[in-house]
Amino acid sequence: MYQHSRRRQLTVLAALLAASIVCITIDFRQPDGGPVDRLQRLAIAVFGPLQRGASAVVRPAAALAGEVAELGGLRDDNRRLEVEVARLRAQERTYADVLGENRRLRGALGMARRCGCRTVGASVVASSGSNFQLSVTVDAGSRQGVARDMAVVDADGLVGRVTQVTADYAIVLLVTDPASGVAATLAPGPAWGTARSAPWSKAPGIVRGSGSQLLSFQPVRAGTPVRRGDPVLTQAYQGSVFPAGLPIGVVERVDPAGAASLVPRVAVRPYATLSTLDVVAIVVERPGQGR
Amino acid sequence: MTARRLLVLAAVLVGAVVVQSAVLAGLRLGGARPDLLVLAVVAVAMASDATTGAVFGFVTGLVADLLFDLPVGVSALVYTAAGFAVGTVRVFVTSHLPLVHLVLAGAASLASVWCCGLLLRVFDLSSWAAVTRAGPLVALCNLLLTPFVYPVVWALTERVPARPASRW
Repeated sequence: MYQHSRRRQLTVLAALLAASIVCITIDFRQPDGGPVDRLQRLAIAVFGPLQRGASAVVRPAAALAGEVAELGGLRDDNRRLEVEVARLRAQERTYADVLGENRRLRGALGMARRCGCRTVGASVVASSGSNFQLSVTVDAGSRQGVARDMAVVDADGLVGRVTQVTADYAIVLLVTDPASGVAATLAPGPAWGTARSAPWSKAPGIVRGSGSQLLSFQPVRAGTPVRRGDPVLTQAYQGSVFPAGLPIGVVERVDPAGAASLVPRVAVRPYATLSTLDVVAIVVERPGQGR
Repeated sequence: MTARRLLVLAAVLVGAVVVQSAVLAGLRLGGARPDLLVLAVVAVAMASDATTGAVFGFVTGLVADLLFDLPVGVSALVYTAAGFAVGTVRVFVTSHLPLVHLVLAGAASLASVWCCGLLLRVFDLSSWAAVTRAGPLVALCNLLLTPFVYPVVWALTERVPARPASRW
């Protein structure tokens, strides 16, 4: 009897492990719209509304929790008044939150307008729960004209790229994720004095995420001089995903080229505040792409 | 497996996924966030058996992969193994000391985070630094969460038995 149930357990385990490995294989080999892709869209469509509801509940509650925690030691007759104050403060904070959201959304839309792009605004409804994937779910999808590989910005700079779309939701891979790579160019910063004294007009390279808060910029040419404070912008090329000239970040640290590396290692701090994203704009149409 | 038990397990899964992505994803403790899903898998496996643990781990991992935009199957693989392992070890854990269960939950979290990280490193989707750093931090966060998650899952699964009582 024991032997029998043990064998059954092992069969189930083997079947599930095999199924996982098959999934991994299919996921890496499928084209857009493959079976795993469709399954992913289904999962996002099912969980999207739940996540949106949960984050709508959590945002004010988290603010209120701080207030309530301070009330613990007070006398009963004071408590009622304190709660009233907390409620009003929370209400006030909600107003401030809405005002701030409005301002940031305007900023995000203004950012994209600078490069002459048409954009769609969206709110962040959830972040990736994984420790190894830096992405967010936003509440705009194919119904709003969003498609895969579109650039996403906030009021300060580039946020990332759309990697998955459903009718009402999309997943955005942040620039800080190690899987993210963006064609970029250095612009002469304040360290060069006037723009004309910089020894180059454009220094092409690639901005990669590292999983931490800083990005790394890899210049294409070995001799490119880089100084702290130089801004990094997106670079467009034939068939590229991003429009040119979106600000990505500013050079924070330069380790010069040496025995370990032919090109300098450049750490870039992104302009966008990726840890506390709430509203973003998705670039749905680049200049010159109009229909 | 009764239909009611299936419903309870589905509720645990949906609750864990929503809390993980909407609440815990905002937390950043030293660069890591707690992994509620591993805890849910461990708790379910402790409250049932190895087969249920493995199946629950597989489904939870699959949903996590799909929603969190990981290569589909990576978390499923790791959580299946974690659920099966905990469900197997459970028979030998006779102690009711909370410490024993905390150690088990912490060890399962550490092992699964490192296994996930290792797989993603193999696919060149993560860095060694991120993988080594994440393991202990996530395990620590999960230890703090365990006292809240365990009782909830236990209470839910205890209430609904695995199979209907049979009389003869």
